[in-house]
Amino acid sequence: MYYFRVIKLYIKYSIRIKLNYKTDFYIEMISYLIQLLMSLLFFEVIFLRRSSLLGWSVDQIQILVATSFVINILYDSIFLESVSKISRLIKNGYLDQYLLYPYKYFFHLSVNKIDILRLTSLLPAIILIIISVNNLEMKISYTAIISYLVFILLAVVIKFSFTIIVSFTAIYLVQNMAVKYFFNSLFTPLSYPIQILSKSKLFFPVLVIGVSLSNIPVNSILNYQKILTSSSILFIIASILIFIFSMIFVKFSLKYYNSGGE
Amino acid sequence: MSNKYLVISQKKIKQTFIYRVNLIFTFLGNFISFLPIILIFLTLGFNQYIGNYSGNDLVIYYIAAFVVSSLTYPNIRYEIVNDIHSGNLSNILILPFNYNIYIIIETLISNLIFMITTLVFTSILFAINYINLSMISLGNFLFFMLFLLFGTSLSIILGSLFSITAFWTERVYGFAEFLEYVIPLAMGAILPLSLFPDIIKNILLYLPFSYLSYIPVNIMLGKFSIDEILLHLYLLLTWNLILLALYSYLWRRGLKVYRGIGG
Repeated sequence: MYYFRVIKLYIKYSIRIKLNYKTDFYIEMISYLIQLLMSLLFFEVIFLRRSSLLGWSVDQIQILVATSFVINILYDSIFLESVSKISRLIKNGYLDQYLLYPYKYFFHLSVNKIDILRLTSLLPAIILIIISVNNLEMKISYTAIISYLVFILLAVVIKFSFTIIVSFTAIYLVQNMAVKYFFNSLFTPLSYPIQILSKSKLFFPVLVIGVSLSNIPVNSILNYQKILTSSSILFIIASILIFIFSMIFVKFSLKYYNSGGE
Repeated sequence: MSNKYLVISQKKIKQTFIYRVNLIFTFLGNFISFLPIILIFLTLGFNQYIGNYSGNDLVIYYIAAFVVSSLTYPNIRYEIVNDIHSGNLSNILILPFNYNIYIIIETLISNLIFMITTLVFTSILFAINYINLSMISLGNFLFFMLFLLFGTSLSIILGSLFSITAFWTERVYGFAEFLEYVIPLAMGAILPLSLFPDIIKNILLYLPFSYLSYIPVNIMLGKFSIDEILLHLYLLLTWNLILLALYSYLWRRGLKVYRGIGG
């Protein structure tokens, strides 16, 4: 109950702040829309000259691109602003405030800047998914829809776990900006088909995270007759393990936190 | 180059190598971001065609565009923005060197170091995928180098132009974010411009941004005739002159509205 009450408060404050900076809010929405259009443009131009790409039709690719946006926007809305300031809190010693909280500091650190209004940017991506699924003329079961949503949430959890681990490297590294930038780039391949992994044995470890995050959920609706494949089971296990590892890493790192700065 | 600019250059090189781990991680981040596009065409196969590009052409196109744009991408120079917004520009302007030459040296050195790093790493891609480079003739390569030279000067002018908007605006981040999406598209870094529908292609082709990546890379790939190369060389030089004149004008106007608050 406590957690719901706190989340409700965080949401209330975030809406209040956001409505004070309406122009920023509109710019943010337009910026997400442009990002979506740019990602689509690359594939759309290719589909002007080809009927399929690595076995994907234009509608299937649109679902993939839109799903990657749903994952990104969900992550950005719930965690981005809270997690992105952790390194700074560590550097200037303000993390102390959170460690003194009477309840789980991990929870507060993760969601204190929740930005619920950002979810409005989901609308174009959701519309695109609905239109593309409709064009494919598929009859999708409720089980497929639920598993799609569950896989999306797990993808958000994986992204969150990685980012929180990287943020806490600030305890060990003087400058971790470039490391953060590098780990962010691991999530760039989100909107690309999983088939690209077949040609990238050398780069497989750095690409597999980003590619599977969107391909596994999409696979659950495109191949709705076979939702639980070996890769989707692996995905579920990996997301749980990465999340547990991130919590252990944070706890372990805090032993070396020396409240520098002020 | 007089001695003071040599000292500035040495300082910049030292500064970049102090944070070499940062440099490598930044490069790796960029590399991973662009890798999926190349992998799409590698997976498709070298003999598959999209427009007038074979799979092999497209792989070379993207790798070359990645290397070239690491030198010619017209970044907003946040040193300029911060100097203007913080008022620090007042302190710099009284120093015995030209601020604009200082910025050119800083930009050139950081971009050159980044391009060399990019070139070293991307050569791995060429080596492991047995990419055929036989279509690159010596003549085209020399023209490519010439375009790269003037393309770099164009990118520094463009980057500086974007940066001095700070004289008139309080925040340039929104503008920077907008440019981040539009410039790669106009440079041909997302897709070769010739794959776009004709109307979009014809507009983008004659904007200055196409000279920062699309045109030099296509000259290297032998996609332009000699007449087209000469026409584009003429246009590239013209863009350089027009934008340089615009920059000098706006810089002078900017200094008039600059209030030096905080400096």
